[in-house]
Amino acid sequence: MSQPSTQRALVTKRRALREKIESTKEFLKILFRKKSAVAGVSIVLFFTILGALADYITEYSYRDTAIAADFAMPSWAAPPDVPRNINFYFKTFELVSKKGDDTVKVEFKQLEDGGAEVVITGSGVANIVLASVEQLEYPYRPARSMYLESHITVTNATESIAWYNVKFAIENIDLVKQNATLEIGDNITIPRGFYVFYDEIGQKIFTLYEYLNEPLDRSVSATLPNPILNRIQPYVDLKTMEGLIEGVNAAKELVLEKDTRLRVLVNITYYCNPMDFMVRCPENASLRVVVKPVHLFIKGDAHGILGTNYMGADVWAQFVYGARSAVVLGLAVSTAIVVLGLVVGLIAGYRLGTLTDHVLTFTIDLVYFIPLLPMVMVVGIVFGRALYLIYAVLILLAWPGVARTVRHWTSTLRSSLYVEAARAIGAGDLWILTRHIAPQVIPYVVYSIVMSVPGVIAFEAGIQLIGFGDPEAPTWGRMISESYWGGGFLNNAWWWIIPPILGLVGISIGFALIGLALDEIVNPRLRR
Amino acid sequence: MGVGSHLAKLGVRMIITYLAVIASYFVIIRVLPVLAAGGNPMADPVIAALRRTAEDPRFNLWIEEAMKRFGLDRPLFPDQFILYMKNTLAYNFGISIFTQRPVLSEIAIRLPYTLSLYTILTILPIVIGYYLGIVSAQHRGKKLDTALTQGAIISYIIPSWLILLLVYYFLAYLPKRVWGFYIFPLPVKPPSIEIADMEAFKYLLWYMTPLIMAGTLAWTGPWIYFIRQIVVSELGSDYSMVALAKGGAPRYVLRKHVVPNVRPPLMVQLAYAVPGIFGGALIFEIVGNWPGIAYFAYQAFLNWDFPVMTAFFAISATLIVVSLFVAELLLLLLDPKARTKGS
Repeated sequence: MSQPSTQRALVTKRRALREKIESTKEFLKILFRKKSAVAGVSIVLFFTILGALADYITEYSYRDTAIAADFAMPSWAAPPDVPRNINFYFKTFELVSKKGDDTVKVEFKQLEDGGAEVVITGSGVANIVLASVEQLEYPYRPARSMYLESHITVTNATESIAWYNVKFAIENIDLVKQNATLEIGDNITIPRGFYVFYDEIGQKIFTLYEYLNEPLDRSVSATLPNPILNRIQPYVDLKTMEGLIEGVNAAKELVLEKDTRLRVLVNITYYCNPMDFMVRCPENASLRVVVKPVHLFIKGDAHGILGTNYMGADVWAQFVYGARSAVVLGLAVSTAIVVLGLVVGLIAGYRLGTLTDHVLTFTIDLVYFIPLLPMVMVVGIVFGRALYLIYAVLILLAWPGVARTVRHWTSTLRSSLYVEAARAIGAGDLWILTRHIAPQVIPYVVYSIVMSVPGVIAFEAGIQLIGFGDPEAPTWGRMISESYWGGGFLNNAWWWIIPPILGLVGISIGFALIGLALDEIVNPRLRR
Repeated sequence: MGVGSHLAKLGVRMIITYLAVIASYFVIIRVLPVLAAGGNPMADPVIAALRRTAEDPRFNLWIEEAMKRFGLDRPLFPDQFILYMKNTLAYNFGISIFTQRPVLSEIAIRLPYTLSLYTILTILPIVIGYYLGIVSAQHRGKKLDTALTQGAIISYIIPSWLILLLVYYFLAYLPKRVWGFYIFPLPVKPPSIEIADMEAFKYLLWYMTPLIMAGTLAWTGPWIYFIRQIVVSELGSDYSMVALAKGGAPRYVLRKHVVPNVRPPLMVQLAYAVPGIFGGALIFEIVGNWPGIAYFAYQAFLNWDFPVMTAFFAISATLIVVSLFVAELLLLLLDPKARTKGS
């Protein structure tokens, strides 16, 4: 090819491109002259931006659960005394009391990176209490639950290990000072402000002695109230109460109280009596206890922008990721449906009356008879409930509408003059289809893509509602279905119910407004 | 080519389509799971469903008999396929695996629920949509028209079950929370269809009201839009122009010239809508806890109750075929243009 001809080709190409841009500009100008189109575009744009920024504007993933109490309100809607999330670390400890024999020596050391180390040597009995120096001012009304976590390592400092037990407790200084009590029926009162949340001996189902003498290295964690058995384990002198006081929410009733101070206690019981023939302990036994900082997490009843759902998951994160999947999946799936219909319709229409047309038309008729929802259920039961399967079924069953229309259009366009002309100068079928007929159908294609997005989103939501949706999908449909079946309606969790419904309705109306504006532009008949 | 031969051709096409559709259902609900199971008979959902039923001591001798009846001990093709086609085309669906009662009588039990709800929900939207559509067309370009059209589009876009959810939230859950009483009952205990017992009938009406409200809101929109578009295009046509130019009052022109032309497409649309009465709206029924046929089919799918699934598919397909045929027939009878086009 000679140089000038390539240049000429380039110039024509550029001109074509410019014309295309011009026509697009013209098109957009017409589009934005309509108020409803502007409204639709801004709604869709809003959700698109929301979805695009999902990673930056949410602290949590839509998968994270238990980030606050279940059914936590949005924090802006809650009164100031409703508990918020509290994350607190009790890092520094001090030795507050050492009771027992003088023969027992205790060395206490504060570790640099938080936590404490206690070395106990000598024979005898001792009870050592470490208390955190930090005190947490608790400013809210009692929260429903809290979570405590630490790590403990027990080894021997000398050759052998002594007998011991370790307990972690959380103490409300003010309540203990006031000698506050809680009546739990039948004139039984228990002291408030003190809760043993970890007891190494108490963890075991079967204990021979009240002590153990083996090394220990484990994480300590407790959720209050205990989801399985909410039993209070009162401190030493109230031991007889055990088993009587089930069903008391330890976090709420015993420890948390507005405007009080909390601290953490570590209680180490040491026993080494060489004379005891039952609980044997050599002369030179010792104990080294290392306690890591204690993490306290009080689950707030008010949280974030949109509160939490029944699993304590962040509704805002779910909403934002739902916007992302609504826009992305909605557009992708409706594009797939329309493109499939377009291809089939083009072929059938272009080959009107031939065997290909008959086969394709018959397929269209057949697919029309396969009901969508039962088909999704069949696929869900046979192959499992996954988002891609649901959308695959939708794409495979939803295209006939577009195909029928495109077939009709193509069949009329096929016999138009310019197609005849193109055929006369020897253009191939594929060329005619892609260069002459398809561009004529493009406005309709864009219109159907835009108009089928609401259906795609609502379809997924409906599938979720009948229990055949992907249980891990980040969609508004899952939020709606979970809020309906998971107690959102019964608990009046409006912050959980309203956003996904509003999102679904909003984006549907947005796309519909754009679609209608497009319809008026492509069908000039409708223009007023 | 006359009307008769056109109809005959259509009928033949419909019958072929119907046969192919029934056969394709066999592929979907019988062949597909077997292929997915990969030759493992335990993973075949029909056999799994039979075994589940056989856990009931009353039916544990029944499994062999049932296997024989469904031909499950014979190869999938051709024996099972032929048996299936024969039974399905003869509407001989047999006994439900799950409830051990004849499928057709099971469907008959649910039929009053489906008919009572969806007959209302088919007629009411059409009646309202018909009048509002004409009103909208009369006020074409004015505020009322814009409001009605936009309302119609919103009603079309938002799924019926979502409107039902909102109705339940704002008229049942929320009033209970705020004022301590229900305006409408929660969808917990479905009523019995009884007219003799006054209390039961009152409860039935009370229970149905939110369903009817939501259904009407959701399904009126498309009719408004549909009727409006027809009326607008007819009002813009030559004969209306002539009638108006001759000095006919707009109302008179509308009543005498336009409305008769609205009826044929309306009848055709109605013919398309009728099979929907049987299938109902599944998600709508599940949200509203309405024990209609759709809900029954849903439970059948969950339990893989093969005979019921077949019956549901076959009856729906029959109704669709018949309605398509009737729609075509109506077009030929009511619209002279279509009659000439056919020839």
